[in-house]
Amino acid sequence: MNNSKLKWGILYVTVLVVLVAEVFFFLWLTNIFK
Amino acid sequence: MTKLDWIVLALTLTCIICYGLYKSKHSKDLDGYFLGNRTMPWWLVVLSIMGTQASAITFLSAPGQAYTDGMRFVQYYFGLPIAMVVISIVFVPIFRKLKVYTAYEYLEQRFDMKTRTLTAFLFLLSRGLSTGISIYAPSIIISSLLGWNIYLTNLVMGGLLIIYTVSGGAKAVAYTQQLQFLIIMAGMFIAGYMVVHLLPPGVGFKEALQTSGNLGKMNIITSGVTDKGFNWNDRYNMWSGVIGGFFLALSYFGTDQSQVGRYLTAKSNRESRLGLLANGLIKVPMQFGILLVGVLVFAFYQFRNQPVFFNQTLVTQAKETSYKIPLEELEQKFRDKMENQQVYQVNIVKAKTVPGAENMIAVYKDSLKAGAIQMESLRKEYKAVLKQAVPAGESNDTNYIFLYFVTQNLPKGLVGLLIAVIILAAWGSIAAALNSLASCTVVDIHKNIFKKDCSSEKSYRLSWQYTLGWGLFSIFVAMFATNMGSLIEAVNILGSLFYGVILGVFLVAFMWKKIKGNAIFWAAVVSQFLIIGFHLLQNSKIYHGIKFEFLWYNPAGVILVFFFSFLFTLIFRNKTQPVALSVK
Repeated sequence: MNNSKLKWGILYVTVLVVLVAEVFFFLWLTNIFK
Repeated sequence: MTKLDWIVLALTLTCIICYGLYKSKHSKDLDGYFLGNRTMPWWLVVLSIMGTQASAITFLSAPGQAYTDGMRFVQYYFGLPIAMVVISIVFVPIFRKLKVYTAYEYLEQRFDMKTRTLTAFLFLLSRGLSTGISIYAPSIIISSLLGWNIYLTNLVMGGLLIIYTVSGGAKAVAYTQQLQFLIIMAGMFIAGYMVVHLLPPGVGFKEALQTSGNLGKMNIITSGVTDKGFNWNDRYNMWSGVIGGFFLALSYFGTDQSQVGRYLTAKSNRESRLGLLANGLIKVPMQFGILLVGVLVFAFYQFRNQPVFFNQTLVTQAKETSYKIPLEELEQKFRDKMENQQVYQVNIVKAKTVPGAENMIAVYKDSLKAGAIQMESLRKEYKAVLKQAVPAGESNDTNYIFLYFVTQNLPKGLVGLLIAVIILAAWGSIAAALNSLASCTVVDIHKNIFKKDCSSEKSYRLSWQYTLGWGLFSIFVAMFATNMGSLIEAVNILGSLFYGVILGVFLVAFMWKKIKGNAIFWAAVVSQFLIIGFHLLQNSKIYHGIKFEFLWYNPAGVILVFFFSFLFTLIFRNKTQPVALSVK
């Protein structure tokens, strides 16, 4: 695979992974401060 | 506001506006910014994108939204990072490859003139209406501070805005927007810090969140599922946020000229994409932070006396009528109730430090919730009396909560600075919106209808006239914004009525090569009527079916456009048989 495409792919996946992590963090906060 | 605040307010406004106007008059690069000479680095792109989206409404209304409805509004932004990834992969390369000036220009290349005109018209209509609502936001501040009538304030603010925009305000914004955005974020951070600082001894950040959580304000993640299954009428939940929010963000950032114009000014594909992705990374935490300020303000008012109604101008007006005594009686009842609530909250904070006090905490929490219901019914009663006293007054005070907190509790000088920056954010986004409305009208509508190549002098005069026209239209809309409730919700509901259809047209253009101009044009027209018709129907008394909240209009618009463009392609093919079409 082209090196540049791989870098962009990693960046896109990072954005999505951060979103998922945020959702889990928020879920944790929701449960803590119920 | 104190004298010092007024001095800071006047100085900040004058300095930033003069700086912007001076820079815009003495820079050779100026036209490049608007014509998209593609020189911006990614970090300026991201500040521009965020500054364009974050108007005064974000800072004025979002904390109030969290105060009244809790943190769940943050879920609305969950689809945004996914949309940023899709726009980076699909939209950016197409727009940049074709070197389009407006997003709608692409539709003429792909379909035909009428589809371009229709989509530009839908953009103009939705942006024109939301600009009207945006004028209302700074009017709230001014009318609260000066005690002016809101309609008069709309007229004065709107008039000044038109003069500011015509005399180069939109250009001046280009030089001050990023700086303003950074100052306002710093201001919000200081406001958040100050709320915690002003809490009573023994109540820190964690306790403040627990206090708000006791009354259900820390509802960050909600599923929208009830005993009867998924509730489509639940405004903000995980699924409406991820799916509806995704389509809304895809349309706003992918097809709304006010945003497309921003990232097309980047110097390369790479910079555009990095700017968008950075926006995707920052947006959710940023909105979380702004909403958190609202929740902290809520916690603050659990330990201090809060007014029954935060729009004090209206309360003062109402007390000048014969309703003064019933209003004061209700205020007294509210205060008594609040004192009980404060005792419960303090007891919960203390009980948290005692091991094995879970049962006691549960009892206090139940009492607290029962008290909150009683306070809410007192508030409703108070609003009803206010409505009788001042029938034209707005019965929703969500947009006044944060402003009230700032003016009453923040240190001298800081109040003036915060208000100045919020007003500047409003003026910046409105001036830029009026400018993009005028230029889109000239480029996508006027020149196409009259088929004339205008001289630059004629174009300038036309822009001036259209700016004036859109300004007057916006003032007219602002006059009706008084009973719209939370402004941040109002602009998003309005946008959702149009965004799904506009996005549908663009997605068909990108993905479905067999669909031609006639089919997509009529598909967009029918879908738009259906969305608006359904919205009106489900808000009428005659409708008793399943209700859908506004975020679902966005995917619905896209699906309708795809379905009707397929259907009309079949119909037009059978009628005219121009070429043999096969649909994937």
